[in-house]
Amino acid sequence: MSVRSARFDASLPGRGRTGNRGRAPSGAAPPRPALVKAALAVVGAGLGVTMALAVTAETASQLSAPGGRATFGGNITGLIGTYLALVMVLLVSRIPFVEQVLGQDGLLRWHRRLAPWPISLLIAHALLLTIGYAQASRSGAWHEVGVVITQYPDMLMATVALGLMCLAGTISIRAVRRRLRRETWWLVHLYMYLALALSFAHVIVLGPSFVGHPLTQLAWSAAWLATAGLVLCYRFGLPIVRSLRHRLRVVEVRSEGPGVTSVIVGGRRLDRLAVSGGQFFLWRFLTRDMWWQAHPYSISALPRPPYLRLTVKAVGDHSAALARLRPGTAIAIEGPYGAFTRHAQRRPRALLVAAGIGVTALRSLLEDLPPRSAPVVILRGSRERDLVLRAEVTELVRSHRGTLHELVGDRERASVNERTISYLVPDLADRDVFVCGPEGFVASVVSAARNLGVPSESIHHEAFAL
Amino acid sequence: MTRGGQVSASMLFLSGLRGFVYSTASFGWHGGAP
Repeated sequence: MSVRSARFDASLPGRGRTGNRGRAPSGAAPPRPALVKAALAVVGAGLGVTMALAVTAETASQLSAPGGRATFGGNITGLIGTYLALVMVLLVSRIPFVEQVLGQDGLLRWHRRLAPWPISLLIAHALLLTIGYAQASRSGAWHEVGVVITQYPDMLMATVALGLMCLAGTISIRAVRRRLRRETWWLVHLYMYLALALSFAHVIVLGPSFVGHPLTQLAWSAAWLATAGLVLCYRFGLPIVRSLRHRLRVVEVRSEGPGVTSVIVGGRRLDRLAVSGGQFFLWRFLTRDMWWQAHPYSISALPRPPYLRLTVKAVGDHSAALARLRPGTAIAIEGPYGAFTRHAQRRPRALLVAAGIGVTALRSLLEDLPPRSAPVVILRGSRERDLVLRAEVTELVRSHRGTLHELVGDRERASVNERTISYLVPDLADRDVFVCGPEGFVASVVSAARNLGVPSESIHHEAFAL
Repeated sequence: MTRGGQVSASMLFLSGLRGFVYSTASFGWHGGAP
């Protein structure tokens, strides 16, 4: 193992920022956690109102009638399941003020955690109502399934919707998802929107909380329309507007080392693109082979209008194809996204740790940190040539009057663990920890930081796999 | 709520409870569809 450390203390004159060609004036807006808390309270209240809709539609006599309890169970599970499905859609609608606090990876984590609930509740809804109706009509459950699907209005569509939800749920199970191509998983996931649209009508037409209650119908429809509007606005509208406004094109493709490529992108009005160091975009390169897929890559430097830069390691088909991009290729973007920014910092100073290509997000974050952060930067690589953007990071650490440690060697010997951190960073108690790199590396550094007493709100990391 | 996932579960529960109580009181037990 080799450890190379360089300290650039306050007595050294600060040098200019690396490659500074005129800094973009605006970073991303600071996150507003109070607004997210308020939104959370609204979501909680909405859940309460949804439950009340089901409960107030029941009477004691209905409950005690044959099949009454199962029918009530079916109604309440259906309403709550549908409401939670809407919340799931909201979680991936990329509403900016929520995304700035939770980050894309945080939102996806919540989306995944919530997912089993609406699907289970909606399956329970179908089963319980079938049982309840069968008991009420004193017929068999299988016979009742046929009756419900063929004779009740909009039930065929709702049954198809449930099938699609079950399919999307099944392919999202980790073991199944691993065997699928990302694009297949994504396409089937899009059917969830279709499933929600198909299931909408039967709730309004058949739901005991809605039939004969036009105001409730109106409020429920408004909630659905608002959700659809937010998705259309932030997932589709805003990216299209941004892409048209900035008209990004590939200017240059540059090799940064074995398998690592920087793409320099030029565009209009980039001074108005509010992006902070550490954030990423979903990049859609409009070539014949790549236009249909958008992949997340961090910016590896703050924008220098009229230029942006991303740096990518070839680990898959898409990232490998970037090296073959031709100047002039048009680009559509979604973003910027990510809460891995200077706004997340809670303590006066910062420790930045990166391995492999994780250095790209760290490099733009480092550039964006206030000078008082006196950053300690730890870069880890198996070989010297794995230390991507090494010269730029060194220069930025120098300009921030920080300290740089390079750990080179195999994973066992050049490990960033509790011992290494406490030895290299004696003032850890004053620092926030930002980690970026492969999943296993991030997990081990986060665990080490926690064990050394850094509170969770001062540990920031961005997962590679989105 | 913080990014680390420390969602204020009690706040979520309380706002849900409020929503439920206020809505139940204002809807009244109407017995649903005829």
